[in-house]
Amino acid sequence: MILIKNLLFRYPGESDFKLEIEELRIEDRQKCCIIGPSGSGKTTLLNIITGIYKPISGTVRINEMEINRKNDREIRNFRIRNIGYIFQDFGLIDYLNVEDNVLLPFYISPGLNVDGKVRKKVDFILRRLDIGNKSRSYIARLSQGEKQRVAIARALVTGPDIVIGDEATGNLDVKTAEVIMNLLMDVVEENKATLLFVTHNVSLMKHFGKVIDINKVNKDRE
Amino acid sequence: MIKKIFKLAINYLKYNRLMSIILVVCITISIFIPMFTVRISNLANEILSRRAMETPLVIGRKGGSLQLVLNTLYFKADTPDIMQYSVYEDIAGKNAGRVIPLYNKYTARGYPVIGTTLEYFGLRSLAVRSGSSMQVLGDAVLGFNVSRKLGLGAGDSIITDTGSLYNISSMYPLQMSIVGVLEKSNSPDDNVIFTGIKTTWVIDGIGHGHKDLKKAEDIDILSRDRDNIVGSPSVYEYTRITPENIDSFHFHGDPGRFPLTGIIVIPETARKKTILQANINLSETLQAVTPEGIIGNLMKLVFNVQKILSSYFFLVFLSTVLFLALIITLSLQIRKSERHIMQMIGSSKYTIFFILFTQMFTIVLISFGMSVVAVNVLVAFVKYLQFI
Repeated sequence: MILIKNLLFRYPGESDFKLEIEELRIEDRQKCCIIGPSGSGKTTLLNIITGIYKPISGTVRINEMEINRKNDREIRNFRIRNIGYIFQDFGLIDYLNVEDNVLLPFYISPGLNVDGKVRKKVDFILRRLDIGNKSRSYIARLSQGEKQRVAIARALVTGPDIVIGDEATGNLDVKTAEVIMNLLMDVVEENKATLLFVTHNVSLMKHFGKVIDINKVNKDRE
Repeated sequence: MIKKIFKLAINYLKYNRLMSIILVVCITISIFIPMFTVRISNLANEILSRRAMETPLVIGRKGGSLQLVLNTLYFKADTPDIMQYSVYEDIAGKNAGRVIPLYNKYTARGYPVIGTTLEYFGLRSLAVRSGSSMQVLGDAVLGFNVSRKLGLGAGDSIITDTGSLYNISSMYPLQMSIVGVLEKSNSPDDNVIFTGIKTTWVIDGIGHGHKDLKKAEDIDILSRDRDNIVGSPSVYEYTRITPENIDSFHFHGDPGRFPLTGIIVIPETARKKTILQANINLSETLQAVTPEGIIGNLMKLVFNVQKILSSYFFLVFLSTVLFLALIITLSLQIRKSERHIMQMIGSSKYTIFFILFTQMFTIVLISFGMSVVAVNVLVAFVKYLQFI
């Protein structure tokens, strides 16, 4: 469960924007959509939940861990094992092939090692996402939809409790976005993960059990 | 972790192949040039010094001491002023040590013909690979490289070079019999032809062989009286010394006045060396030089030039470092999103720095490796071709 209480966040040296949340609760395995206009603090909220930004006050609790009380190293270790990130621009590394892109969290973390079990898991996820035959391909050779599938595979490879999608279908056409969304919902469900998804696309909201309007939870914008 | 980071680095370099190759070439050149210059000047110093140290004293006509040493030790440089054979006889008579005469003036098929005695082979520890050392007038022993390059060996013959085809006053070429080939010595001795000192005098025209004028027909005789027989120019001079005509070879004039280009002396003691050197240097026409000192001075000059080059190389190196810094800065800019992604996923800044560092380090390591290999190959090639 993600629980945010009495949160206050402000960017250093910036007085125009403030994120103030009294209480926000997201249950385990809930599929949650965060909506709001540009600049309203959707991505900021995700970054606070993932520990990238530290709030001025308040608590951010994920399961039993109060993330804003941990040091950088602990937060990084937590993030790499428990949070899968899907970026709007896919965030794939062009000089790595599909398999290595999926394995990136393992390559950049001293605590995660690539073994046969992990490779089997990568193979399984890629096949599940219908890109099993692309594991040796480089990113430049993939379609937009395939790139997003690779990004999803990477987000799932460490078996995270939370999957975060920041405008993750923003670069896809409507049809592909729908296909990817359905796929994402299925694999998140299969992996028993919580999904936090930021989108502008109202047509995608039907997929989510909970919709958070950032303007409604941010006391500063009420 | 290092293995994983190295994998990322290698993937990056392989994917950006052209950029990697250009970087490797740039860095390799900037490492190779100073490294090669230092190695080659050290090698030259080592080779030149070793031979100079093996040759305690060289005596020749007063003049350029460097020319004398280069000609006597390395068979390079122009022929120094000629000295007389009597000097050799005088020094040999003083029992100062081993005395070896050298006459280095002529060539055969482009290679210097060195007239000397068998004692020279002992001084340089030269062993005969095939055949034998020279025994009679007209015998020649080839240095290893001369034999290999000309494809000649014991039993063949070689003709000395004439000065000019159209110079009618120049000497007849002499066809020398090759009686042996020396073992490779990795020294200037590999690149010359050795013969007896008297044979070089024959090449010089001081000695020659022709038909016996006492038995000659009248057509070959210009005048004949009780004491003298004057032959006509039509008398045939032998251009090859054979067992049949060797007895007809003879020298005109006082042997003490016959030419030498240098004398190597290996004094028995340091005292004898000092006394001999001092005595010789008192002479108005002769000089006695210590090759080690001459070559030492030459190498000082080389190393001074190297010092100047070092500052130039430093500037080249500095510009390469700045060039690398520019590449890294640009690369960091271009790869900002990649760093951001890694950080978002959970990588530390140190890991990201280490990944980028490993990529550059790999490039530098490959360049360094290539430079070392290239320098070693080229130095081996220089040694093989005996440029030095």
